[in-house]
Amino acid sequence: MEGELLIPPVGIGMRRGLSISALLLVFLNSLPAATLERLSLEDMIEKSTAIVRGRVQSYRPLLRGPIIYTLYTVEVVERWKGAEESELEVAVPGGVAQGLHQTFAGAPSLASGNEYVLFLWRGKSGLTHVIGLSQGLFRVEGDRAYRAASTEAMLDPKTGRIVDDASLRMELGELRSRVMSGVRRREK
Amino acid sequence: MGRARTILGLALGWWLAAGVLFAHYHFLHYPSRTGPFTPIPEKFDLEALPERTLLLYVAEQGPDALAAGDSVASIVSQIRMAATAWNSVETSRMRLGFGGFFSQGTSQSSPRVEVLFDEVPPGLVALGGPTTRGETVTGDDGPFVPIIRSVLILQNDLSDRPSYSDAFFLSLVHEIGHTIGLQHTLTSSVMSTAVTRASTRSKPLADDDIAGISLLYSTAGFTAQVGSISGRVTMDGSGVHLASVVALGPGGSAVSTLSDPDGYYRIGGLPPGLYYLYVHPLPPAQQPGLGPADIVLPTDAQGVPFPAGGSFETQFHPGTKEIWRAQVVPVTAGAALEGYDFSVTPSGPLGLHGVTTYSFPGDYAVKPAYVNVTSARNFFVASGVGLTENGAPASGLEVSVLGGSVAVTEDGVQAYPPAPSFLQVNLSFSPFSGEGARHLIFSRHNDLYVLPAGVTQVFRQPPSISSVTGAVDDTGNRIALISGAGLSRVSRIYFDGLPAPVTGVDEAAGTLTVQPPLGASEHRAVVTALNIDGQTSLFLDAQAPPTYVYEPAGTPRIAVLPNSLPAGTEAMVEITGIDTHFTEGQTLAGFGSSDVVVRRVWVLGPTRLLANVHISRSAPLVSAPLTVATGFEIAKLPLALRVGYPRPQVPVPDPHVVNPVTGLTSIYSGGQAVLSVANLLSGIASSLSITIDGQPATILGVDGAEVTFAVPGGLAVGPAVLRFVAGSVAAAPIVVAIDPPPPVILAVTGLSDTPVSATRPAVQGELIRIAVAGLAEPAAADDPARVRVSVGGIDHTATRVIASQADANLSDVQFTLSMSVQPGDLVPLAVRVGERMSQTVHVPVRSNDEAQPQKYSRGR
Repeated sequence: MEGELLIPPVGIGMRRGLSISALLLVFLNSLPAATLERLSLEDMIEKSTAIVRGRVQSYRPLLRGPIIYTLYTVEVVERWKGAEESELEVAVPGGVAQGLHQTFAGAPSLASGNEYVLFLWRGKSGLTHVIGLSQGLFRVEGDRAYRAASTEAMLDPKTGRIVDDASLRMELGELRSRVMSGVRRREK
Repeated sequence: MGRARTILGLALGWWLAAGVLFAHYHFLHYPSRTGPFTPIPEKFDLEALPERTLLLYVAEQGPDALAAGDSVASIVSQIRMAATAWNSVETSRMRLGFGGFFSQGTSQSSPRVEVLFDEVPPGLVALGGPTTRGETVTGDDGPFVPIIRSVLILQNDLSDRPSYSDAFFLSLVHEIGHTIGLQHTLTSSVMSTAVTRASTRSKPLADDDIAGISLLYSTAGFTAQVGSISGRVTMDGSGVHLASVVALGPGGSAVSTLSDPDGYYRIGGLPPGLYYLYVHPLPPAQQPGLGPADIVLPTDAQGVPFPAGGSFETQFHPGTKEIWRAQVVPVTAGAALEGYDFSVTPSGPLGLHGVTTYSFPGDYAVKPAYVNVTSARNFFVASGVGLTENGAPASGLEVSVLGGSVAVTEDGVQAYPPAPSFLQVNLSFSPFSGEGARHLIFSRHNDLYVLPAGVTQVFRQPPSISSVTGAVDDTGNRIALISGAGLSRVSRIYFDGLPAPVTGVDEAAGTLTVQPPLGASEHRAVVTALNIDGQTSLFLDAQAPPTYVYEPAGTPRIAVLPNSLPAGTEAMVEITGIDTHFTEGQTLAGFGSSDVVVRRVWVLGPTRLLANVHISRSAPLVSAPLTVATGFEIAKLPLALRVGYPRPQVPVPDPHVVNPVTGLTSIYSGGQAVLSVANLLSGIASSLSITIDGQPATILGVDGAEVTFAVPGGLAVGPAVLRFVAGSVAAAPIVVAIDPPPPVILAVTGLSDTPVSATRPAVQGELIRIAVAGLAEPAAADDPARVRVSVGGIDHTATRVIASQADANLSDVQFTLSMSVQPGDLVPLAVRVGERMSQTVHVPVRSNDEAQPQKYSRGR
């Protein structure tokens, strides 16, 4: 609603050569589940503290104050960003602990034995979360990585260019390449 | 409080679905993996809540970072406004309130909602959800899984998320919906995601939201006022789980439900009217293990989810993609329509979905689309899957508007020139069309997508505020002068999330005079205007919204006596303040704990309050903090009330003193009252005593724990202190409200002031007038909805209340007799104002059809 800068029309029958960089739709680009903000792949690369390809080994509950988390132990197969670790724990809100069942719509459920590419963010508490609840989670099957298709056109707020979100189903190698390129760009 | 109920495991045998209606979607469980499937929802047990009010507690440790100019007080005001939105649903018994600030880590045993500021990863702004023990109990409405606590988590870093924004507010309304048991829908309601949501701050709830909460927490008689439609969705002969069935009504109304694992569905809570019915698959799950559209899948007794059905082609009932071939379904109050089945065709991935619409009232895009028919911008812009290809409308795409008042112009679907990946849809309007939301239909080849309330037609620009000026009126009260455009006497003005009543209007100058809410020292409030067409001033003013800054003032401080009470008690406390401005109707108090709950507050003056406090038997033995809020003025007292060991030998009077004649909690001087007392020993009736404001009350009888007494005469209307003594043991004093005597019905008349009688019965649909003495509700003239009339068990809202010029004690209450009232010779009728109810009179009622022949015969 307010805060969106989609280029307004100038007048009927008139065209105006405005820079497409005036387009800004990210502010209210929300996804199903909870209240989310759409992140482009570039955003996720930038904001992640770690990006790994890993296999889920097990899970356990964690009760942190009034919030229940399910902690998934992930064996790191490849690390694309972040410190070297052979294994890490990923916290997803919701789960069952001490007889309590807590539910959050949109919180993903990782299956043991499955492989994923995870865009992760470590908070001050030390917990490691998936970026955007489920946005930063790509299922890996064979040599392909995928996530359900975006429902909206996305614009990069910095360049105004449309983000090609069709690349959410891609070759694992392509995803790796894009991520590593993005990481290298930010390291320069 | 509470009642005996059976604790059942999830191996409960199946429960007949009759009387259990569901629309919308809730967090569900099924007792068995085989049908018939009886849904068991997660919801709060209202009987376990003091005053049936669910309190929201805000974490004392607020966010780490706020947006420039923002404050915790502003955030709390938005939370309160979001709660008020859900409280406005009259057909729901759920009421939400602010319980104060709490310290995380404090043990609490009673049901509540905790609002936390916590670390959440980038891309996540807020989330909310229920917590249960997974146990099923049985209530009056059937089996349910009690929610014992819900959490609403807001991002710790709100520096980019100003609380005044509509997005923040609607997120709160949405997440609170999750905390009370509502899941997502796709009807453009507030429980839809922001992709398709058509809510605004002015109209946050849609019919689907109202149905969803009403069906979960129904008021008595709700089901008699609404209808339902049911049927089955099958594909290749088998039931489809989680098919979304939507009833589309006029004015943008849409109510939906999701089918059960056998494909059966029932849409309840439908206001009477005409509907189209359609079924559509949900958008695919974001991740394996998630339900489609991120629905939390229902589970069985072992917690195993039921998988969703496959994708299929959307269709209208009966089995058509053409709206003009669709059947119109008439829904009447109390009617349960059955057999509206769908046989759907499998399909691949959705070709059209997730459409968002925008419009341009000013320089910025507004979502959802509000199109002003009087402006030159008679179009909206849309984005979504399948709408455009390579900068042009997708081949074969057609867009239409349901209903005849708005139409897409010929060749009116084009790429939006400044951004061709978006679609522009040009509209034409019938000169006789009215304001309101319209449903959009998108089709492309075999794909059909319906966006309920996708565009709203309005006749004026959104309101805009150009200046807010503080002033003082003739009586020395602070006021604010709001100048701008599009403001009128029906505009609502808000300072952050708190209403500012309009006290004066100068429409020629475009100025409103308002009474600002009580402010904190130097508090900066963003001022917004909300108009009844759904538009708000933030449509135009969002980039630089007007503000009002309160003057510097002292820091309010409070004290409470007594400062120690035992667990398991009901007691009065007195709260005094320094530099406080307690105000009736604006001041609320909370002890930051669901185990120590303020039932009610009475304002005796700007620095003095009385309050009834309930302390649960299981309250932990700790000290609870006190928060008293008056507008933005928030006073806190940590460690305010120490909870001590329970004292089972001390009687505990229930402050809900009941009038034995009406059964309502309104007592008056000279009347009778019934007091329920816990821990009352038997056989000591002769040693009981009650005083009210020091005056002894005659005890008329004792029946178990209930003591009937005569309310002393001569008591002033307002709060009074009741003291109860049993033998030598005195209970803690409580406050009771002494009301004016009940209203008295003097006469009931129909058209032309003809008295209603056996020869001249009242007719359904007729305007009825009731002469009432002692209504004692001066505000009813401006707000007639304060007065209710019950006729034959059907609740009516007064449409006008006119005070007599000759006798201030007399009022003329007018209402329209509902078509739902069953005809009869002696139909009971009573007038109610709050908990005060008149005597019951009996009137004859005839149906509208039955009355017609008589009218014709009179003319012959």
